[in-house]
This record gives sequence, structure tokens and C-alpha cells, in this order.
Amino acid sequence: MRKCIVLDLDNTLWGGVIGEDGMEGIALSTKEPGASYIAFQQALLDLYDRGIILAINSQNNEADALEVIKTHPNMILKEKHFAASRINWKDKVENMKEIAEELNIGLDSLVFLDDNPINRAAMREYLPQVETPELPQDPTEYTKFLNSLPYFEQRVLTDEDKMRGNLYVTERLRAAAEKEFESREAFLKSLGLELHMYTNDAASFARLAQLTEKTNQFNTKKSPLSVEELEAYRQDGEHIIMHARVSDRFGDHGITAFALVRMMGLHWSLESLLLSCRVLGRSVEEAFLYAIGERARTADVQTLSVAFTPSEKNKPAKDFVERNWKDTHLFPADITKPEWITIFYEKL
Amino acid sequence: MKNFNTIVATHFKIKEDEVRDSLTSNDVLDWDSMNYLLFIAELEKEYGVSFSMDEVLSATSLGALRGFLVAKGVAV
Repeated sequence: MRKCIVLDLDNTLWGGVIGEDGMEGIALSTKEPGASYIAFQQALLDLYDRGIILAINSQNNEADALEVIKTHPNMILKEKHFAASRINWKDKVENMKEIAEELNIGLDSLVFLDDNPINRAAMREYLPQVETPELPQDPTEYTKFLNSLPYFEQRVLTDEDKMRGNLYVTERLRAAAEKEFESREAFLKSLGLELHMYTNDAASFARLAQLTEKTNQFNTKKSPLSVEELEAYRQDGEHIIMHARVSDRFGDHGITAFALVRMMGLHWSLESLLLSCRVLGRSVEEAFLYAIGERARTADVQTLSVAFTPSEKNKPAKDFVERNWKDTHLFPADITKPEWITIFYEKL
Repeated sequence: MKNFNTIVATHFKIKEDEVRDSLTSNDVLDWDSMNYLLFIAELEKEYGVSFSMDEVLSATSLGALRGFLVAKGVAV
């Protein structure tokens, strides 16, 4: 596991070179290519909020770079988020050693992200203890790339304020991106949506308990469950707890779908099925149902049913149930997956 | 150009004479995180302006948003 991400600035945290392009010229807006850098900064902030240390190692005039960090209105990362910084014209390898010393952590705790292949090659050559992955050439891939790195503990964010901050930023970027496409479907395809499916993952129960309490609109049956209750279901041999984490090229939505499944031989009943409103309208619910169906098929289950209890607010869930359950029983093979969503079945 | 208070009232489903600069997400039932973003988008479209990330993240009351619009030269 790694503790600290050391970042380059030009063409890593923003597009362009501050020393040449100036404050007005660098790319950091809701339009591409700036949007990709904003999304990347938000993903880094999410890691910061989970306890990862951030630092800067950049060849630049310090005053120019600090002006962006302190005053650019679209900078998501602020000065306070960086525990150490080396912005100078010295060798990045030397800077790296100093950063490790200042933070009092080993070089083997550091990850170095830099768009320049020469800087990366030098770091690998002289400081192989530092993890220096190949940052993609295309900034639109930065966020997905960061979220796929295996060096950081997968901790679940449950702080509502911080999740809201992420939502404000990433949803604005999505809204801006949608305007660039002629059809909704073309936009959805461009997002590169991923659904990561988990089964009986006790580490996520705190967030799942929160979802069962807070979700009103897309919830087939509002029944708040505590962590203890979820744990009891996990252990009783009759139930499976499924959830999904959803992400796309602008960021990680975190855990947004939950299902409590009761196993009854060749038949499974969805006792509870819910989806956070932040991912509604992208067919994530269809993909989640498809993934549950795939799990059922693997277990040779023939049919799925759903327990639905109407409330004042859960019309979206009602529409979903009516759309998919024209009959009491649904055959898993009949569920189709939206083509723009990729599903990953995660093993614990 | 639509009146700011009218947009607020329609969007958040409150009465126009209840619109105050001091209103926050705690006071308005329909002011959740998603709806707030739609509101921002509506203001941007109506007044032809663009809010920065800082502004969207820092505005905690209606008055703050009105202030940002005024600073952008919109008479609201």
C-alpha cells in the first residue's frame, strides 16, 4: 500500500504550461480538455479525503504555479491539500528524495504521477522504490486510470458533505459534456460507465445502511437496515447482500446500488432493491438487475421476483418494477444489459 | 429575462414572496444536491453566465448566488 501521491503540475493537474500559457491560457474549465483535469483533481481530492497524502514535484517558477493554485477559480485542489511541495528547476529525483524526507515517509510509500515520459523514466531509473505508473497520454483517461491504481486501500467514503462536493463537481462536468452530444445515447456511450458488483462485502455495510435509510425515490421497499441487521442477513445462509459501485470517466460515484436477496431454492426474491438518485437516468438500474440475474444464473436459479411496497415518493422504483416484471416472475435470461455499461464482478 | 425570484420560486416550488437571500438548503424542501445543480444550470442558461467551481461549491445561500450574478454584471 502507498501513502502519498506526488504530482507534476503542467499537463498533469491542468492542461498546458503555466509559464508559457498564463492563467488565462491553461485548460481548466468545464469544457474539454479542461474538464478532464478538473475531474482528475476531484478524484485526487477524494483520495485525500480517504487519508492519502498529496504533494507537488514540478519544474516551474514557483510564483506562477502558486498563483494558479491559490487563485484559479476552477482549481479543486487548494494549497492546504498539499503536504509538501517542490516547485523549482532542480532535478525531480532530488526533489523526490527531499519530499520523502520532509514528510518522513519511505520512498516506497510514494506514487509519482507525471505526464512527461522522460521524467517518469528517470524516476524509475534512479528511484525504483517510488511507484511511477504510465500516466495515459490522453487526459480524458486520467481519472479512470487513477481510480484503477491498486496502491491505495479501498476505503468507502461515507461523509455526506464530501460526497456532495464530489457530486457538484463531477455532475457539472457531465452536464457540460452532454451539451456536446447530439443524442443522449451518444453521451452515455462517451461516459464509459462501469458497474462493479460485490457480494456480501461487510466492509461496505456502513455505507449500505446509510443508503437504506436515505434513499426514497428509487427504493422498492423503504426499510432502513442497520449494520448489525445486514451482518445478520449475511450470516443466516438464506440471504445475499449485493451492492454495486458505479464509476465513469469523470469520477467514482461510490456505492450507489443495493439489493437484499432471499434465496429460495430455484427462486430468488429481491426483498429490497434501491439505487441512489445520483445515478438515475443512465440505466444503471437495468445493469444492476442484469448483474443480479447473472449471479442467479450462475447459481442455477430459474426465476426472480421482487417485493414492492408503494410509498409517497417511490414512483421511479414503481416504474422500474412495472417495466421489468410484467409477470410475477422474471427469467434472468430475459434481462438485457445496456450496451454502454461494462460490468465487473468483484471477488473479495 | 426572467426575474431571479421567479426562477427560484418555480424551481424550488415555493411561493415567490417567500424567497429570501438568507434561504439555504436547510430551509427549502426541494433543495437537494441534484436539484441545486439543475438550478445552477438554469441560472447559467437564463442569464448567459458561467459559474466557476469555487462559486458552485461555496454558495451556501441564495444571497451568495445572487451576489455572484451581480458580480458578473447581471441585474438581479
